[in-house]
Amino acid sequence: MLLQNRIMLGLILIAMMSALYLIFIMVPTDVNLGVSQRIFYIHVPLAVLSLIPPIIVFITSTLYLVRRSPQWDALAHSSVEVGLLFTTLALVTGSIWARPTWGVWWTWDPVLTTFLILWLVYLGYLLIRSYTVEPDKRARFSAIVGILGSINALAVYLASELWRTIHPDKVIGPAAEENALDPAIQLGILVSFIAILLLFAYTIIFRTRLHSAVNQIGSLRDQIDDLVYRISNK
Amino acid sequence: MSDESHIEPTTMQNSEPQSTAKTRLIIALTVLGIALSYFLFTAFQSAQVYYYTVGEVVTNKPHAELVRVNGNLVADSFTRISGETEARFELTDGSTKLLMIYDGIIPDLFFNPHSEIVAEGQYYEEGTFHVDDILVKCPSKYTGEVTEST
Repeated sequence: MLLQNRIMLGLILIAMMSALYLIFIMVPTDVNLGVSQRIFYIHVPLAVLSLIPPIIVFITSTLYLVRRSPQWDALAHSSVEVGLLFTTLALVTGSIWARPTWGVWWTWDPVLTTFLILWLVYLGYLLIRSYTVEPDKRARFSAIVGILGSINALAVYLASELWRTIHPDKVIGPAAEENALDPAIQLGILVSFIAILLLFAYTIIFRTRLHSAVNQIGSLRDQIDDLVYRISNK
Repeated sequence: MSDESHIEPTTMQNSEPQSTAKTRLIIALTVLGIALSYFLFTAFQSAQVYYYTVGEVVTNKPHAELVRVNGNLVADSFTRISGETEARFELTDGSTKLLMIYDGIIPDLFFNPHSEIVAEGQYYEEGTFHVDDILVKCPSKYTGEVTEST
């Protein structure tokens, strides 16, 4: 497991270094937006990957409610944690980019507003977890909130199609326009996306293992308590 | 004590924190629910009015209402008396033009021919739009400077 971790971290390091090289040295400066466009290589992968945890949470929470296996709950929990991190970073980088291009740090645009709701949903999910003491109940409540909350990700994805918005159209993914990007810019975003995707996957796996370990320790401790109680009462 | 009776104290222990946990959970859910519905409401509101086109503003004449209007800058329409901060320019949706009066900072990309302008402000009866804030909508196509020049 340790070797696996090291290989994964090594891969992330290589991918990130290549991404940084591409972003700061190789890719051309955008003709309209200038240097500020380079934050695109960080902002877009973060924002796109922010929409993956809702899919994971929807599936794992449903599986938890059906199977009642704590592993599904652990995976949902870590997806939300990583989701909160990624949405926060996407909001911050987006805000930094919006100031020099749009002229404001924030505007109540449909894309931005639905994305902020996504961030609040993640926050609410973790809040509910921290307020519920009993593990089974916590997992059950979280699963319900997770399923309901993840539906909002659809609103984020469809916001730019449904409503007028200041936010640029999608440049990658199924809804993207053809030839929206230069070949060099395409390479830059691809490598940067892979680097951030690896980090995303690694963090979720790492956190899930941690949560599973915490669950196991919890149930072991209960068993020990039970045993001590039986012995002391004999 | 028999083996069965040992279950009781543990459930007794749990019952109290459980009820407080329940109230906390209800509070958390209510707060979340209110927050969500509020933001969804504002999202739908601003989605309908996030911006109008120049033509819509000129025909509907929104009175005493803060609106956003989207359009392209009419070439060479921008004027500002030297020494003054008030600027005047025209926005167009291709067919209709609207005169804008604005006193404030002009964003960097304002004069870029690829930019669209989103102006926040109020429409006045005499056919002018008093702008509070200017936003620049940028193209979602990115091209390098080098490839453009060759």
